[in-house]
Amino acid sequence: MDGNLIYLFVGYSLIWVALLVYNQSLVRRQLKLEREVEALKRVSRPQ
Amino acid sequence: MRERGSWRLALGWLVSLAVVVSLYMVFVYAPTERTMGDIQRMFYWHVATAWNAFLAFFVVFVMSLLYLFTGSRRWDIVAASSAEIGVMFTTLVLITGPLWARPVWGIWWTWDARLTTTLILWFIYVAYLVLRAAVEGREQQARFAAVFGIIGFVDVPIVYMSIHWWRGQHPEAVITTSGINLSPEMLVTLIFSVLTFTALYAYLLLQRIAVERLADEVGKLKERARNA
Repeated sequence: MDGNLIYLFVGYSLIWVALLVYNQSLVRRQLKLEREVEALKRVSRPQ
Repeated sequence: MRERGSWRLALGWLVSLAVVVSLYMVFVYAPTERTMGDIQRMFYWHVATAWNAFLAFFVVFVMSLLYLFTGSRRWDIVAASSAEIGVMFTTLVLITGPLWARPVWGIWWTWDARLTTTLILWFIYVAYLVLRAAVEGREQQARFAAVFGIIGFVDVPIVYMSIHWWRGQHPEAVITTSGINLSPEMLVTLIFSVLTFTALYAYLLLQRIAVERLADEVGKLKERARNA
């Protein structure tokens, strides 16, 4: 292993972090929308 | 819906496992390149992210054509989802490229044809996403986006061919019709990384499509509540 490892480490770490953050944001958006759908269905259901 | 979710979850786990195996291959299995040393290991995921960006924009192109022919919202959903993922992967290409260039070329950036056309590609699809957000009315938004998605794709073959058309600093393709300039271990690692990232793209696309469908459902329910 040589002295350029820092660039390699930063590169691979950035890809990892970006993918994790993006995936998490998709999961969070899904959960939020699912809750919204449930709430709207509850409201529109006839009493 | 639940069944679809469990398939997505299974694919997610499979992709996570493949990513770990790919990392092992990149750092342990693949040999160290003679001239560049360890920094050459950036190559495997740099190429894989670039491949995903091209694939994502190709999907935008095909889905945009399908939308213009059929007018079906489902193609527009896939196009919008794929464009967002494509922009993310192009951003990663534009970050990992300079991180590789700095120790090898001694500079972070140069206005080489491949780098410049890739940056233009990023701007085109960022503009595509901005356009989608700016235009009001679902149908008009989808139509404008579809036209933009088709025209914008013109830059993808230009990015690919740029290293052949213009002399620059970016290295030539390692897999060409005249042969493969990689050792067998390097080639296996590259193919595995590209396949892993393709599966990753499929997983992210399914996730993103699910978000868009839910947003549509929320919109319909709100509309119904307003009209009730």
